[in-house]
Amino acid sequence: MDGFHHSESFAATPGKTSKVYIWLTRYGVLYFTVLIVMLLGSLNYKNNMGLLLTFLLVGIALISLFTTHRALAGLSFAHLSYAAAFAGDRMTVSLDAECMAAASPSFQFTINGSVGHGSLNADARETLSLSMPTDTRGEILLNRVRVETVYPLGLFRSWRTFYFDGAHGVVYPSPRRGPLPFGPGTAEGESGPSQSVPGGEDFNGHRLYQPGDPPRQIDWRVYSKGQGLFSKNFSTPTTSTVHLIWSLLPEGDPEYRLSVMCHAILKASMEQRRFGVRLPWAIMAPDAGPRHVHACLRQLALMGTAGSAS
Amino acid sequence: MTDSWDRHARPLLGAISMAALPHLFRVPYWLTAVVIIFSAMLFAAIQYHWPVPSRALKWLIIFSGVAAVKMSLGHIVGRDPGMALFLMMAFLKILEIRTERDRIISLCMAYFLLAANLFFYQSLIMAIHMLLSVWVTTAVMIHVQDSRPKWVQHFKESGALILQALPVMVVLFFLFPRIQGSLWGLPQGTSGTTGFTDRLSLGDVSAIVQNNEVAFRATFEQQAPPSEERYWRGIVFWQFDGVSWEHGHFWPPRKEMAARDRPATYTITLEPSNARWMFSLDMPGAPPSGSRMDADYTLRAASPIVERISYQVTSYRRYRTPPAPPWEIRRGLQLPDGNPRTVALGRQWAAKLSTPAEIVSEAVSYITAGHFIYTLNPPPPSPDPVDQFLFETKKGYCEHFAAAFALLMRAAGVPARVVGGYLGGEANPYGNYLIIRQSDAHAWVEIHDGTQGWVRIDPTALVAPDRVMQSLAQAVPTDELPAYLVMEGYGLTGKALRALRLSWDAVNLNWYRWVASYSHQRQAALLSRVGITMTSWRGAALSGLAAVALTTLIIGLIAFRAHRQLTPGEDPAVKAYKTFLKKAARAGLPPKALHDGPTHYGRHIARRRPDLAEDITAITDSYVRYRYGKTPSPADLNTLRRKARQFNPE
Repeated sequence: MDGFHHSESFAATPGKTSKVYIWLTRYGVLYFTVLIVMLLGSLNYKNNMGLLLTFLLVGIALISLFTTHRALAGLSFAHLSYAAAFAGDRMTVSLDAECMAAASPSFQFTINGSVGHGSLNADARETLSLSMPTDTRGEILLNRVRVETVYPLGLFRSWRTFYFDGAHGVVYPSPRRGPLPFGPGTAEGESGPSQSVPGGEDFNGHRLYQPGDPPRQIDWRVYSKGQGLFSKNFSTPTTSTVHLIWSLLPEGDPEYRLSVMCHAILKASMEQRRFGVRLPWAIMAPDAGPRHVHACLRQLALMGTAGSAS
Repeated sequence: MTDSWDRHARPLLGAISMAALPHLFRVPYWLTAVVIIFSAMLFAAIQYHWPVPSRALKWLIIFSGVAAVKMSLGHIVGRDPGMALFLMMAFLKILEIRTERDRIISLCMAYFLLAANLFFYQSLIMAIHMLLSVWVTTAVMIHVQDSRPKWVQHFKESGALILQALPVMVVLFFLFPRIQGSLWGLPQGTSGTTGFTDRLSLGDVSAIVQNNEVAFRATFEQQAPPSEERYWRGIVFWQFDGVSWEHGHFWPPRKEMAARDRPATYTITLEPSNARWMFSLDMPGAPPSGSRMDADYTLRAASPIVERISYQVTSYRRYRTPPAPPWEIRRGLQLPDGNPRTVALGRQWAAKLSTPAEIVSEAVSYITAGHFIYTLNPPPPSPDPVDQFLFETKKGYCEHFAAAFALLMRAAGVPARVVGGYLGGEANPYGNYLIIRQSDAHAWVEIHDGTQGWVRIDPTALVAPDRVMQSLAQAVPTDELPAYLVMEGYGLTGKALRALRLSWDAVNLNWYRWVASYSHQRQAALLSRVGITMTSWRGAALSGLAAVALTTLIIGLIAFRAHRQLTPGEDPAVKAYKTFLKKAARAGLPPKALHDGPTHYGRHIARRRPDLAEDITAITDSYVRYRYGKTPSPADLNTLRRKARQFNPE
């Protein structure tokens, strides 16, 4: 079901990030064990070259301890955003990362169990993203970003948590075809959904020019401003309003009913209708547009979860 | 093969090969060949996608390798076989680097190979190799952790880590408390003895001389003594069985000398000989710590010398030993069964002459007038070798002269003994020290004179004074000389070679003296200057604390420097832009009002100064792009900084 995207952005909670913590990895433990053996051996055999090597490696480990710590010290995230997904799809979560002074090479960040990788040079900004699997509909907490790195030597792991209080993502039910629960008040019949007819009468916004678009549809005024080549979208307006009613869904598993309702909402939206949704736990007044679609789908997503009251 | 193979096989092969390099010169030749061929196969597999060595081949290498080690080294356990097997495993491990764990183990093997090298070689060149190898291995370690293929970056970071770690290394090296004994047993050396043994047969010294290896180096605090005074005393041979001289059995510790003068203090750096003899110039005043001095003034280490040691001695070039006790006189007069003609000649002198001095001068004139030939190729000894030398062949090397002279003295009733050691040494102009080689090996005689005690007489000096005054190269014909001595003797190339060799030797000796031989004793001496006595636990703890404190300080300094960079300062773009604004204002352009946007302001002043319009636009655009653009790029920041710095409206 293409054609519907919703994304949302959250600002980092000001003044709330954890300190950078650091501890040995298991390879670090192995490394230091080897160093202790080398130290004792070299002392015993009075092997000064062995001692030099041991102390050099001790020095390298200590400096790397500090480097590992520093690799996260300069990192900050201004915003977290996500693109809403349907259950079973992958949800993309993005972070606006910035790195002050010290570089943050090769770190990984974990949001709600999903892992992404990033690398920032000193004084750089970048958008990092990770894709998160979604199994079931509902809300996914995105309020904590744990960042960790073992750079450079893998002997130490430093970690740090960034907070985005209240950030969460919404996973809609996966849409499924089924009998459409179009209730009374439908202007046209169920069977005759009006198509968005290209080349219709009413200007309906812009879209990127695609080869094959008729030249008269190109918005030359926009082009003359140097903003790029856009086609004007025309379509036949639909004035019909429908109501999607929960009780009209086929009886059965509530999850199945949610999926069918989801499909119906998307279909109504694609057909550019005004629609209202009547659910046992919420009534959405007829409206159109992506915000409305999101509000409706969100009600489906949150059914039976703590967030459903809101 | 796999992703991991493509990404990690090459770096790991590099790190392992680098660490294994010195081993290849040490292990049996067949193993060197196997390792080189196998790593070439790996390289071809990585670089040119040749087939990777199969499982079967791998097992074949393992089994035949173990069998070959068993055949060529005799065992499969122990230090050398263990190292040989480990070397093969380290290369085979590269075939199995599927997980991160495998790769870390592979890197640990590289470090282990590196550490193992140091138990075989301690030279400066080894230290350089160690640094380079740590550099490579650490870079590979970073590469394994970092998913980006940034080689140069990884080498740079590895280098930076090492540079920052060097001060820590130095501090810990000098301050970390050393132990005096050992925590557990030391391995026994297995190689043969070099140089003198405790038995000397005629022809032995001329064999030792063929060896160009360094026996020891002597660093003098003052001027080194002249050539003819450089008698390095080692072993005293008392017991003569007619064929060879022996050191003999247990000797009580020495007594003080009756008189001594002209001291010389010097440090000897002795190469491992697998024997216990320690050498000193002439008569040592006291044994260095860890050794003992016999009644005949020979120095002996507590255990065979299996690694380089360094000790300081004060010797006396003018001395009088106290009168020898009767048992010493008895031993100095012991006669063998054979060599009847020599013994008869000595007895004849005894009957004719009364004082030891007369007997000595009789012997001296006998040898001087006897047409004896000093040669490196004496004829093979017969059952009565001294008779053969004195009366038949008349050709011999220093030990022939010494043995004959001592036997003559004994037969004539003058107590005598043969001393084995070295004579001379090459002065190294690049460091005030002498290099004494096996080729300087020499033998001479000490006789007991009633008034002066034991006195040195070198009969070789009678026939080949050049050997004493200068060196072996001057004393024997060129065609008898070992090749190494001939090569350096002639021409400019020879001179350059010699200078190169001597300066490298000097650098190495200093490396050894200051680093490789740093010990508990040296540490104690160093720390006593700052008032820490290392003899007690408290001293050791104090020095340990100092090491930790200094290390913390170093890390702290590095951390502090980096922390200052981290404190959120002004955005570099804003800073550069402000510089630009200041310069513009100074040039009389209208200052930017607070409500004025940079783009608008830029256009405004560009109209006022069309000559600067290009720069102004570039600065404004890059600033706006960097500050407010969707994807700020470092290139914009660089342009902004550069242009703002170069902006010159006057």
